[in-house]
Amino acid sequence: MEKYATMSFEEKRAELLKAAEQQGRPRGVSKQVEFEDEEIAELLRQYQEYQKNSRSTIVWAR
Amino acid sequence: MDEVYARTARSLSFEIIQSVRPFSNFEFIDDNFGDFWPLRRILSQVRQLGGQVITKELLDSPEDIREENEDIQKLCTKYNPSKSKVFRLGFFNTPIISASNIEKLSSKNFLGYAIIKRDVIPVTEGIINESMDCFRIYESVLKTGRHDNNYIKRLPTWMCVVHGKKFEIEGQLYAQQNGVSNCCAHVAIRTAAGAIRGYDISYRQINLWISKYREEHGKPYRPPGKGLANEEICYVLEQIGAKCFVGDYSKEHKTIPLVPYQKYIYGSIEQGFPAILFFGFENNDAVLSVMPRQYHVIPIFGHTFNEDTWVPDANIMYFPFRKKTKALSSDNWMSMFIGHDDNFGSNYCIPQTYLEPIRLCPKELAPSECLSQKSGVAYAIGTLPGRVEMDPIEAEIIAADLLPPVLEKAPKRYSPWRSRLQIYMEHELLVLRPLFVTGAQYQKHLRKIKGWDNRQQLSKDVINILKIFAKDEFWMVELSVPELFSANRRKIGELLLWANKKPDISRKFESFCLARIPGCFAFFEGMQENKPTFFYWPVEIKDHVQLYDCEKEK
Repeated sequence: MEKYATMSFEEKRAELLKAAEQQGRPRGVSKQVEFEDEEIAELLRQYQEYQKNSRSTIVWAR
Repeated sequence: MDEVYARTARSLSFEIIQSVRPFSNFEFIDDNFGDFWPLRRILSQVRQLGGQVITKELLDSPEDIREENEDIQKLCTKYNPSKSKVFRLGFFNTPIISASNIEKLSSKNFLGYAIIKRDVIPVTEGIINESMDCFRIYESVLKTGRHDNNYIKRLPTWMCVVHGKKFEIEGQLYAQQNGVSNCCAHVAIRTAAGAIRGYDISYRQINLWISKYREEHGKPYRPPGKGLANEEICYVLEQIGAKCFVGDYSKEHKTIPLVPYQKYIYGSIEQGFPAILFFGFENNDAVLSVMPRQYHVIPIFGHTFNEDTWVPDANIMYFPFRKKTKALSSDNWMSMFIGHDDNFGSNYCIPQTYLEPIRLCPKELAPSECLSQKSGVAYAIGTLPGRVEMDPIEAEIIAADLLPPVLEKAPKRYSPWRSRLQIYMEHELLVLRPLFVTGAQYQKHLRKIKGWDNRQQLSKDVINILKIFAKDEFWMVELSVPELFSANRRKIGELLLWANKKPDISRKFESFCLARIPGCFAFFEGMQENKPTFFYWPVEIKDHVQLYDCEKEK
């Protein structure tokens, strides 16, 4: 397991695919996936922008 | 014995008090400590836990108490620490006739403790406006979780000594402020530190960090009893080792805020990390006070779950988050927060809709366009392990984005749930629940889950290939539907996102590890012409399975 410690995330994903293909199980299928909805991607951008300004100081709790 | 802490220090006297009915907690408190609300709350909890005996010890001067006294004296030079007295109350669920019986007891008999301090503090200009002679709870830990629907995770364990004998108690530390060398924020941080690190933190250390922060940021000195700011609280939590993600409701909002504050709180407590709620209330003495509104913070560390909650579609109208993710969050079934309030006592249930966020409307908006709410939640501070780069709200958004297209391409022959889920997606009724897990924990979970027939299980060689990620940390976003999630505590699948990777908004799937859906895993193969390709790998479970931490079914 030490060999995985130095792998990048992408290398680990590739290793996972290789391990799955090498198993003697029914073969899987590859499919291309489409994204149509941009609203959720925009939500992530808005949330990250919102978080950048979330440490304002105007009040003190006592 | 450890003389550093009042909970483990040597005592100068020892008394056994039989506390079964007709013993009156009210009379005991009035006779020994006067009008003392938080102690009434503590003793009423002990009664509910089946308490039969209270032990009372007068303590010598443990180091943490001496430190507090020194710090009070620096601020109030006329303070005389010799007038300070400290008692330790222990609570037991079994009869104790004599001191020698204590030795035979185990931690199973121990319900918790309370350290009570009396302080006599004179008026000091700029520090305290009225002299103080009262008792307060310096600290208390009680056994929690007496209700099945209470969820408090990662409870710290505390060592307490009673008449020389050590006992252990699991629970969240509660403390009251003294209003001089500490305030509500200090005690909330102290509760949080216990939950984050599993051990205590001193008020002096908190104040040292605050001084450093103010010096580095050019902020003026402010006596500790006068309060801490939101960013100061976050700074101290980060020194303790947490990462904070904050919902800020203190500014003008032209529209309803993007994310409900409850998500910041739930996102933390569902992982067993504490959150801090920072809210304002109108000062009743507003006419005389220069501060018409005051702010208070309380630590939150658990929640209750109501499986029969009606989750109305009004959610869609109320917050943009729900409208855009087109999915239900699991926090909808959370009915109450569990937390402490230093003014009133420990382990309270607070309805999650009791407080609304502050809404300060810009002047250009007519009142009908923005109903202002001046008292309410100013900040919601969630905490996570310091190394985490993605917060649970981001994880939920990414899962809501990725899961439907990944599900839609899963071969229908792999499971009848494929078609069923399409209907739930169209009605925007998928339920998402983000959980922080390691790869090893995920593997352990996969070994335990079974399909509804109680026979379908993942084979060992399937689970084994995931050893590649055993040491990694993830957001596992569980996917379910309302009927399965709340009543049966089951799910359809999950998606794993690397938690130590900053989430990208570009949809390059850099955070995506894998998804497990009925009948198959989905692994990311790569991008072709800017479109992602997934490899669907058939596996044994074609059905719904238990939620994480709900693997043992009735």
